Amino acid sequence: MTARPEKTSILVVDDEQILHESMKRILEEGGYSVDHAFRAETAKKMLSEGKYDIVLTDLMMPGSSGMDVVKEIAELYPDTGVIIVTGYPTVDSVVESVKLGAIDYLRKPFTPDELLDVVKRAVDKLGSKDRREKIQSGFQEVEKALASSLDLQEILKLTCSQVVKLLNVKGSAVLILKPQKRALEIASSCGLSQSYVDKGVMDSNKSIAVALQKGETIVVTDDEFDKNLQYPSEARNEDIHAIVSTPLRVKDTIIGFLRVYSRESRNFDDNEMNALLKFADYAAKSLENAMTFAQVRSDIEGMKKALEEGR
Amino acid sequence: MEVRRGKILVLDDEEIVLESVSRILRDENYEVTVCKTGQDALEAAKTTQFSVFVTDLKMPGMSGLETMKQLVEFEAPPAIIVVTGFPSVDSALESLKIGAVDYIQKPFSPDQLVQAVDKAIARQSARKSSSRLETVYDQIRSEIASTLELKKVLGTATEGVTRLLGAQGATLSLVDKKLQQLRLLSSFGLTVDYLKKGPIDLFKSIPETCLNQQCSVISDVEHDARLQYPQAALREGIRSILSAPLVAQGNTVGVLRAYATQPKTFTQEEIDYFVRLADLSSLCIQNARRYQDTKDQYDTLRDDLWDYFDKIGWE
Repeated sequence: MTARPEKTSILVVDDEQILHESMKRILEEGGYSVDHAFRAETAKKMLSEGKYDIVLTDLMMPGSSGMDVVKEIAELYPDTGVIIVTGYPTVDSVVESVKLGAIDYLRKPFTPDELLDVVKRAVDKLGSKDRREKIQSGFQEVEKALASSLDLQEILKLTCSQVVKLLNVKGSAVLILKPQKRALEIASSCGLSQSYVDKGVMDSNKSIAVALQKGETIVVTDDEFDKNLQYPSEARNEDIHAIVSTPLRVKDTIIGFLRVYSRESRNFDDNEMNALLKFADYAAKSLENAMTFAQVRSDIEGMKKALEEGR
Repeated sequence: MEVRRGKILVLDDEEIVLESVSRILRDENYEVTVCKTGQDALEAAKTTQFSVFVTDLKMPGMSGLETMKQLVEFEAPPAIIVVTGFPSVDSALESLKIGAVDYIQKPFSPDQLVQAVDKAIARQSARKSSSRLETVYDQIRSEIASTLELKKVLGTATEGVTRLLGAQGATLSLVDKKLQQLRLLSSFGLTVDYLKKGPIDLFKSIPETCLNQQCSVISDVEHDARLQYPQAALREGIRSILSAPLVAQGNTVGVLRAYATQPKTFTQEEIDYFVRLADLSSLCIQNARRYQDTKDQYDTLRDDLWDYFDKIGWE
């Protein structure tokens, strides 16, 4: 969802020169950056010096065994994914290596496609694990940020910037419902161009009307923009390919929506959705507090004025 | 008698295996339920929450793998241990990919089975307590953030921390700089006797929390010199205390404490959540105080307005 990340780095540990070279070629053509080690000892040394996303290792090599590499990774580099590549798997070695955290097995001999498939699966798996952990730790910052102020404008701003950071999306907006005007007004936004923010009045009966009526969270991907959005071409021009809208509730009443905008046309996984709902709930509470505070402040100003005028 | 250590579901089509597996596990104080078919096992798992599922692979009807696949879709599935007389690399790999935590080959020794089950139980309970902590924390966060009333914020902090840690009680005190003491603002689950034990000196009562802004753990009240009133704590049945500073703009403004009746070692995760709640509480307290100040100003002004109207008369 962000700008193209750095190339996934792979370490191949195998004592067969010929296999090595072909794996390196296949993986590099697949867009990965590849290093190799002929022995377990060399692999351990390389792991201590550089960061690898994925290690492909044989189990049977001269000197210390590949299982040592697997153990070392389990202990010291838990974020690195291990794939076992072996010609002679045994039940014991499979069980042991998976218990240690190996995520997949590739049996020799294999085709280039099999190799690329297994690596792709591992990358996806690690990516979703990484996102899950980031979201979990990101919430600590969110809760502090949103409790750090009682100023309404500040909370609106923080809501937008924090959700973008938490879910790693292109942009976000808080839309406040104006029932009399039957409109949704953008109260604050982040990561969106001024022209997109100013694109026009959003009719609350048209724009995500279903979400509004049912109070549900709605995902609209770009193939449905024409059907479901009031301003589909503006969204495309803005390089938006998916929009998620979730209601902001204050005392069981929907006061508006939190929207996040993704650069990719995709659905969000359960973990991201849960995080968004949790975030919206928490943000709504902070907004409510800020509104209560603003109300008292404005009452004070009103009374001051009345007193001054009276005197 | 030892307490039951966990519920285990065993699936095997052979009577003799079921008997020996359940005997081994019952001897270890596990509560065992046996099933002969995958359907029965799934039915049993629907009504009872098992910690571990021990299963064979090859059976007439639904296979062990198929049963596992359906079981892992349950809301809180048990840890799975495969026991098989026909081990193969493929079935091992598939079992583990579905989520089995172990794969034991027959014949196996009682020790092997018990070890695997013990390990699975430990893992399961760690996972359970971790997800419980997260759920409870989320609830407390939601509660404490949804009010600006100082009293309610303070009450939620002490009640919440007690709930979060499964503790006996909790206190929230503010630092009184002049007196160099801690002033109690809110408490939960503790007797008046204990709360009135005497003035709490900043330098004598777990000083590192106030003075160095550190979270501190007292895991055995009886043998810890950092307490000012160890006897009062013992009378209250308190054996361990967790303290975290409440920090505002870099200064320690107060202390959040949790009290447990057992000499308890808190897990790092519990301590992390505790500190997180202390941090959130101090922010919410600041907001509540600002709101209170503003509200006071409002009340004063309103009284002034009333006075004014009274003077000029209503009509």
